[in-house]
Order: sequence, then C-alpha cells, then structure tokens
Amino acid sequence: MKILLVEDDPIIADAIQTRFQQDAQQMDHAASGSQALHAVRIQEYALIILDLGLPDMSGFQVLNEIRNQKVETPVLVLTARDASYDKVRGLDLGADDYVVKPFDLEELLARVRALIRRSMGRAAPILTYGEVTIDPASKIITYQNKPVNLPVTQYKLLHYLVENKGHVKTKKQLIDALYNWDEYIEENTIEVYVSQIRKKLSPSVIRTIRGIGYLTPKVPE
Amino acid sequence: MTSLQRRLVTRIALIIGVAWLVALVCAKFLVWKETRKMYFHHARIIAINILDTMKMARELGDDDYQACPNHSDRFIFVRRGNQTLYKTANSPQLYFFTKNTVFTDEKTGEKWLVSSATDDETQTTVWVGLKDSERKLAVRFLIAALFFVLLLIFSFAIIVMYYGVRTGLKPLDELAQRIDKLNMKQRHQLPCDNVPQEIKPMVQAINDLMDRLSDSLAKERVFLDSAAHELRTPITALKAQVQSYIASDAYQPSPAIKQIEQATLRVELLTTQLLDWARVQSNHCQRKQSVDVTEVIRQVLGDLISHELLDMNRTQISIVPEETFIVTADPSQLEIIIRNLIENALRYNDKATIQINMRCELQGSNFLFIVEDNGPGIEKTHLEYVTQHFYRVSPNDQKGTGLGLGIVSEIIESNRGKLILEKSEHLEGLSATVFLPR
Repeated sequence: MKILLVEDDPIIADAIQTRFQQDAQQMDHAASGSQALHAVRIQEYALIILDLGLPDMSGFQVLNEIRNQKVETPVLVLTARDASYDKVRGLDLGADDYVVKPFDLEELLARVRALIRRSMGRAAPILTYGEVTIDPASKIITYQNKPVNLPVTQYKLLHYLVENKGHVKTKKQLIDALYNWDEYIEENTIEVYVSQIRKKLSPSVIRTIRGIGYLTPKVPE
Repeated sequence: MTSLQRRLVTRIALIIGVAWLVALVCAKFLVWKETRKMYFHHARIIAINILDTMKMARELGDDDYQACPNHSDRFIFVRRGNQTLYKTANSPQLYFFTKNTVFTDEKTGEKWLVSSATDDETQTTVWVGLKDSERKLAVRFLIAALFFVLLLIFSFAIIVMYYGVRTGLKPLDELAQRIDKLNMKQRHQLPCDNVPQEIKPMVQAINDLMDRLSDSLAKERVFLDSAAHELRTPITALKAQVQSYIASDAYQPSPAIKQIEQATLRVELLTTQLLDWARVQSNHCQRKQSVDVTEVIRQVLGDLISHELLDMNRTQISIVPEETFIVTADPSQLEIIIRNLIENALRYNDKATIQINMRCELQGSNFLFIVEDNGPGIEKTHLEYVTQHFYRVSPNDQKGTGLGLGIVSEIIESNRGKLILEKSEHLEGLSATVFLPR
C-alpha cells in the first residue's frame, strides 16, 4: 500500500520520495491540505506523513478532518516546532507519532516502517535483523532459522530494540516504552531479560553500554 | 555620584546659613538704630529733668543750683541766654544746636549723642550728651550674644533638617529596592498606590519604560524563535537531500558530500542552540517537576552515542551516583545544560582516551552537577568570557557554535543558580560546576 506525503516544501518532499522509493515504498505527494484531504477521500493509504506547516490550512486541521472522516490510517506528524504543546495536541488529535525537523531520513524511514508494522497487526511483514527474524503477527522469533522460545516481555524488549536499532535506550526508557505507567518494574528486571535474550540468541544482538543503557547495533554483527 | 540627599542637605544648610547671617546683620542694624534713638530720648529726658529740678530750685529760692554730680559717661551743659550756667568737666565745646546730634569732640575724639531741652520762660537750655562708645559696647555685646544663640538654634535646625531629609527621601530608597527586584522578562510593574505624589510620575514613567523594554525584548524573542524555526525547513531540505543522495545507488563516496553533511549538521546544531536560547529567554515556559538527573545524563549520553557523536571505545565515563538522583527542575532546561556541558567535554578533547567524570551532590538548598574532563581546558584569560554569546576561545574554532556555555549560564542565572568553570584537579581538563536550587 502507498504512503501519502503531505509536505509543501518541494525540496524536502523530493528527498523523502527519493529515499522511500529506494526502499521500495510507493508514495503519493500532496503539497497542500486540500490536496491531502482529496487524496485521502479517493484512496486508502498505509500511512500519512503530515507536515504541520501547510500553506492553505494547518496540519492540525487536516489531521482533525481525516479523523472526522473515520480514516484510521496511521499519521506521522512532521513539525518544525518541538514545543511539547504541538506534540501533545498532535497526539490528542489522533497522530500516531511525530518527528521534529530537521530529522534524519533514516530515522524517519525507521519510524514509518515501525508504524506501518504496528498498524498492520497480523498482516505485518517479518522483521529481519542479521540471523534473527521477528514475526510481529505470530510473535515468533527465529535465530539461525530455528524458532526461539521467548516470554512475551522478552519478545517485546527485543522487538523494541531491533525496531530502534542504532539508538541507545536507557533502562528507564525501555520500561517506559514496554510497560504501562501503573506497572512497577525494577530496573534489574531489564538486565535479567537482556541476559536471557543474549543466551538464547547471540550476545551481539543487544550491546550493553556500561552505565548508560542498551543498544542493538545499526548493522548486525 | 550625586546624592539627592546630599544636594538637599547642602542647599538647605546653605539657606539656613545665609538666613542666619542676614538675621545677624539685620539685628545689628536695627539694634544700632533703635539704641541710638533710645539714647537720644534718654538724654532728652535727663535734660528735661534738670530743667524741672532747676525750676523747682528757683521756686524754692535756691538759685545756686548745682545740677548733678559728674559722670564720665555723660556731660551736662546749661545755658541761660548767652551765659553758661553750668557745665561738667567733660563737656566739649558745643555749637548750641537744638536738634538731636551726634557730636564728635575734636579734642578727645569722643563721640556723644547730644539732646537738649529748653525752658522758654527763663531762656534756659540744657544739653545732655551720652557717650556713644558705651552704647556701641552694649550693642556689640548684644550682637555677640545673639550670634551664639542663633548659631545654636540654626545648628539644631540643620540637624533636624538632615534627619527630615533622610526620612523624607525614604520612599525613594524603597522605590530603588523595588526597582532592583523587577524582572523585565516577567513583565513586573511597580505598584502605583501608596507612593508619594511626587514620585508617582516617576513610577509611571518607569513602568512605561519597563513595558516598552519588555515589548522589545518579547519582539526580539519572537524574532529569534521564528528565525530559528524558519531555518529548520531549509536545513531539513538540505539534510534530507544529502542523506537521500548518500543512500541512493547513484552515490559515489566523495569528501565533498561528507563535508556538506558535516556542515549541515553544524547549521543544525546552531539552529537548535538558537532555539534553546530563545526558549531560555522566554523563561515563562519553565515547568518544574521532579527529575532524575542521572537518568537525564544517561539519555543524553545514549543520544550522543546513537548519533555517533560519542565513541564509547575511546571514552571512559563515570557517573556518581550510579543510581537515581532526584531533584526538582525543568527537565528540558536540565537536559540543555547537561547536553552542552558533555558536548563541550567531548568536542575539544584530542586525547587517545577521553575521560569524563560526572557527579551530582546535594549542598544545602542547592544541588551540584559537576562535569570534569581530561581535555585541553580553558585558559584563565578566557574563563570569564566563555559564557558570552558567540565567544570562542580560538578564533579558528570550527567545532562549536559559541552559544552553548552562554545558554547554559543563562538557564542557570534564570534559576538563580551559579556556574563555576575552573581547571579540573583530577583530570587536568575543564571542571564545570552547576549550582541549582533543588
């Protein structure tokens, strides 16, 4: 399925389109809010990348309109403002993620992939990291083509780190991302999970950055 | 410096002094005139008395009347027709005038105040002279007494006036204290009520000035904020294009592209710091909450590693305490401080192994965040300037923006904290200590 890019700046739009085509992602481009709303009405998209600063209407209005039309397509908001007000408002209006300009193209790509995977549920494609595969649909993990039995919490942890490969995450960030706010998790638990994942897979899947956190390297070792 | 109090005191003292002098001169003049009048009157009364006594003696048949005994301070001269009936020894040669006269005896040089009385019946005239020097002495004595009394009164007046001026100017002192506490960023105003009438226009003028200044500050902030935000779009375009090209099949590794990417990242850093600066300037967005400082440190370090700005293979980092360290602060401000100090510790360090020690401590009502590194440090001559915006230790510095420490110190100042930069004792590089209220 296609991705809709709503971005009025032609140079940014061009760069994003070029990079996404490289990644074999089909993309439509709308340069204004009205074009975007028109596109959404006539076609179904896998994801919408929405810039907040549009010439004819604000991105918030577009987002509001899309959600009013009961379109459930995940929306990733691009904003030049990183004030938390914008973030909160965007998420309140039904955005699924936000990326602050100037962003890393690779990071945008990773976020888009993760969002699409999440929204597709059972139909989500299998995630491959070196000799590890993660199937979000069946929650089955294989290592060197052999299935590995991981408890749900460890599966979530591995999935999150692989999805965020190249990014160091502290124990607190992992807890915040994987558990609900009312669940009390000891930071030591993360250590235990990581060592168990390492044992069952390869030690290089999750690197410990001593005193800071954990990292799944960008390029599998 | 001119002091209003001193100006008032000197002027009033001057006025009182002049008044005192004028009072003395006037008193002298008046006393001089009045005593002379009084002396003439007195002489005339004596003359009339003598005439009366003579008349009485004549009626009693005692024609051989001797007027009165000699006094050194007066003379008596009696004449009937052309004949001198009587004169005291000290009597000068008179010219037989009838009006009150100041008569100078040429022989002795003595001045007399002479008055006369005439009995028309017997053609007798009595002249009585009173010594002027006596009167002058009395006048001088009186003036001298007045001088001291007035001096006393006026000195007292000056003291009272000094005290009065001091207490009278108290509202100004209070105003100064209030102005001292004003914060333009928070649009403070001076209260207009309970202010003396004379100061009210000044207070209003100051409030207007504050308004105008805050307006222009606010405009500057808005400009800075919009400028930084506007910059983000073209930077995004540049960065996205470069990265898109590098990721494409057409990409041929070339130093030029790498340098364009580097330059883009620097412009991005500058924009981020300008935005941080703008945000610090409008400190109304401060949101204090409890924050784990060591977690912020870890997240900043993690971010730096993710963005390949920190190579853990050549860096040794120690964080004390290793566990949590909870304080009350604005998390985003704390992150800006920590990020900038860590980036500084990394940026200029050419050592084979970079070492950064970070420590959090509580000290009274403050908490301390200390970053030490084994880098080149900052020479003493630069230390006091490095917090100025766009100040660079080396003019050829291509690495930093010259904004980082300025933003850090501005955040710390707006929180009434303190930043101390010095040579690190343990690591020989820079030691930055941040004091913030916890």
